[in-house]
Amino acid sequence: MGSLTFDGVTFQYRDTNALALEVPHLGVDNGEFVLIVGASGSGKSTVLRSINGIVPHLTGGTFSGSVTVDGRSTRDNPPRLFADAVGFVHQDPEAQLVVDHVESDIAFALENLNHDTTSMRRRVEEVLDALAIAHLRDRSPATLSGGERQRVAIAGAMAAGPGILVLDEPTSQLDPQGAEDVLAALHRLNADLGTTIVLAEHRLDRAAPLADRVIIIDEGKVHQDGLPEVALAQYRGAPTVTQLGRSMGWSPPPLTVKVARNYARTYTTSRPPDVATASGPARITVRGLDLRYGDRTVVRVDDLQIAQGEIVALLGRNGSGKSTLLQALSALHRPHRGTVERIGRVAYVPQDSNPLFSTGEVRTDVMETLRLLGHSAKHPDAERSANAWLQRLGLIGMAHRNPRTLSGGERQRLAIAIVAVGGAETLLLDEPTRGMDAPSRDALETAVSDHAAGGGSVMLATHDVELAARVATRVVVLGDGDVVADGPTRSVLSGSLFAPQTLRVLPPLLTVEEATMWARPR
Amino acid sequence: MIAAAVSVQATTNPIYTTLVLLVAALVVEAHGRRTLFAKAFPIMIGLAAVFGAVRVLLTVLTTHATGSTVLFRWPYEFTMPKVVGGFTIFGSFEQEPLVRSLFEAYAVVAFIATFAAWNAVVSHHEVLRAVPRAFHEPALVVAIAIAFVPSTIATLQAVHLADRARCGGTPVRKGRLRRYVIPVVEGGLERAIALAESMESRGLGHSRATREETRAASLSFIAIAAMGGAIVALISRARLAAGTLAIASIAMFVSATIVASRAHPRTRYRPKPITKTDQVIMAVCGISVATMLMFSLLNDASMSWSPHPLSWPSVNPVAVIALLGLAAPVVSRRVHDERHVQQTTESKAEGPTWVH
Repeated sequence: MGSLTFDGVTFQYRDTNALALEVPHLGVDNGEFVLIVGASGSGKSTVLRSINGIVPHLTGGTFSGSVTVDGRSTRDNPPRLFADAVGFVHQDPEAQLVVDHVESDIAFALENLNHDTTSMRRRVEEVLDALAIAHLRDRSPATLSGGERQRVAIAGAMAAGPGILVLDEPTSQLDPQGAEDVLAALHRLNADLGTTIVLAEHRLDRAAPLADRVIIIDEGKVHQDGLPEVALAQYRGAPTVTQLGRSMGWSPPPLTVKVARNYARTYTTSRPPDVATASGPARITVRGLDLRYGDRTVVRVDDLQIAQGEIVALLGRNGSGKSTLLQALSALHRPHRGTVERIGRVAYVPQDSNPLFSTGEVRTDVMETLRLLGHSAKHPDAERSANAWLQRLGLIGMAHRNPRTLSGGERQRLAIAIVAVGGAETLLLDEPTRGMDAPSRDALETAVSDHAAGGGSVMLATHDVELAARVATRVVVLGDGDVVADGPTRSVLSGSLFAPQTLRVLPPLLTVEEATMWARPR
Repeated sequence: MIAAAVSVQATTNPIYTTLVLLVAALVVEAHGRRTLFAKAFPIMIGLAAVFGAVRVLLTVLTTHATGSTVLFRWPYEFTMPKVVGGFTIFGSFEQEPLVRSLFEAYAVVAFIATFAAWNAVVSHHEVLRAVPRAFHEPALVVAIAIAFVPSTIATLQAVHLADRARCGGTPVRKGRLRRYVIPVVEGGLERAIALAESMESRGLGHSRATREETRAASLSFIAIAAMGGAIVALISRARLAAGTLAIASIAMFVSATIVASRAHPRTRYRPKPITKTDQVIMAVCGISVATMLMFSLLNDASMSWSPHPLSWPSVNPVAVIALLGLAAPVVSRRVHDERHVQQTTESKAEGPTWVH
């Protein structure tokens, strides 16, 4: 139990001309941990949804060939008949929980499959233990963290005892700790229970070492299929440590920091010159800030400045007050005490981009901001300004598309264009790389660097230390609402338990680019 | 909840109405869960109060009766054309319409409070587990709809924040409805499609519904609609219609249960049995409401109160005791003990084309 096969599969969504999927043959053996990677829109989700027949039973479209799971074909069986063979988990944990009670939600599949009461009780207890969520059994999913919610969703998918667990970017909306918890749970299910795991992911730093095999999907086709070290060796979105190995000529490129350190033993590094601290005038000056929700203080900042030309990364665990601070800097949260002085316009881009899409077209959504700010949308300058931001963020080719048809990363970039087009000198970005693939991340980093180089300032709240290492000139760390570190990127990240991978392999170098310039074999 | 709501509607005595309101508040205080619905209790009462205040305002401005006590006269008055009713706005400001509308608004607040209290104290999934098997599907639909409420409110808050962020912190009212509604609706649809995929993947509809189950489901939908109609009729004080619809609803519920019991039994995860405590509470509340209805039918003097002439309402000690019986849930153990639970926060498309 737990094997699947694609044979001569092609699939085309309704009202499109191109094939979304073209897989002559693909097999997954019982107990394998398979990682599916590829850029947004490459067809990863279509592959996953074909496994239990969501494609084409629920999507419509034209399907040929066959997908069989443990000898049963999706051609003859709709998804509900695969509930005992394939567990399916979406990227958004909120969208898949049916009942507002953890234990009852986990039992949902068992009730549908008409398990007897004794068997149900046993299965629910087993998955609660397997996913280490027994303490959450009486909670409402609405009160759980993202990582906890996603583990509940996995428990719900696993309750009926399927041999295969299919997960579509389950960590894309989670913070690092939540992602770590989910991946640890998957590792346990695979290693201890022998569950076949088919996982699509963008964030490969933690997922790649767990996989037995990596399949790269491009334009609906299997571009590469093999061992992780081999398949990811040339992949653009490979883990940072793999990219480092690639640049340094290490073969095979490492997947983990531990392996990379073995390669790095024969290298010596020099300290690169420090990046000049921004000396421009302060755009934002904070004094004696006390931010509260009700009576509870969530952020205390005595003194903080963001200067012209700076890119400041704001790090800190979930709930440390990053979003609240950014909202206060942009006048969206009224301070209980203290002052925030702003020079020029300040724009805040929220974590969730979807609330900004209200017109049904990418360019019109950007122009809408200008209209709301009192500019004539028909004025040539308005269109020029909108096009400039779309160009800068690599979205100009999608100007006429509906934002809802864009990938997660493209939506995040569009949100930045929608808010920034108002002419803000200071941009405050809240978790901008959440759910982004490598091309989207690159486009974002270029746009942020260009904005700062052009005299703007940027502060980005992020969990992504690799992003901070690549683009930030300064790092501020929040801990329980207080600033616990503030300084140049290298000095703050050096010695941190959550340092970027390159820094952990070749200190004091922060990025792969620095390593190629400042690391030499002994 | 039903007993308290019926009791409010059975009387026009403000003291009895106040007692029901106090009982509702007491039950929420004793059993309120730390959920969004519990937080909504004061909000719902506030909304009902606003609705009541508007009603009072409209009534005193438009109601002028012969023989009423005139408190003062507005300096002007307008009489509307006959085609729109021919009533007079402003003119005299009279005591009796003011007091009567104040009481009616107060009764609406108490009525809404009983529903708000129910939402604040019940665990909807436990209600789902407690309903007879015949009503599982409709109850599941309701449970899913309820599960959507917190996420929809969160989406609304996110849309509000994003709208202000887009406008540099200053809200722009023009066109705001569209900017709010479209993201909420589109986001809701995306979530609904994902939820449908998830439910199908988790075996919903794995076993086809039997003929008996389909019939039972139809009967239960009719029963729910009839019960809704009865509640509306009760609010409108159309007692005959309310009674007829309530009886029809109960008959449909019983029929659905009988029909469903003939179907092949389906298993349920930890069905919640009705305990002796539950039975005692239901019995006490039943006696309370029956007593109030009996006094109402017997035209007990304390059950009705008129503002003309203005006087203190009379009180029947038996009715007071009966109303205090509605507080029986307060002395019971919590239906679902959450003391140890630390709450930290609070299309199908057209068919595919198969190619061989």
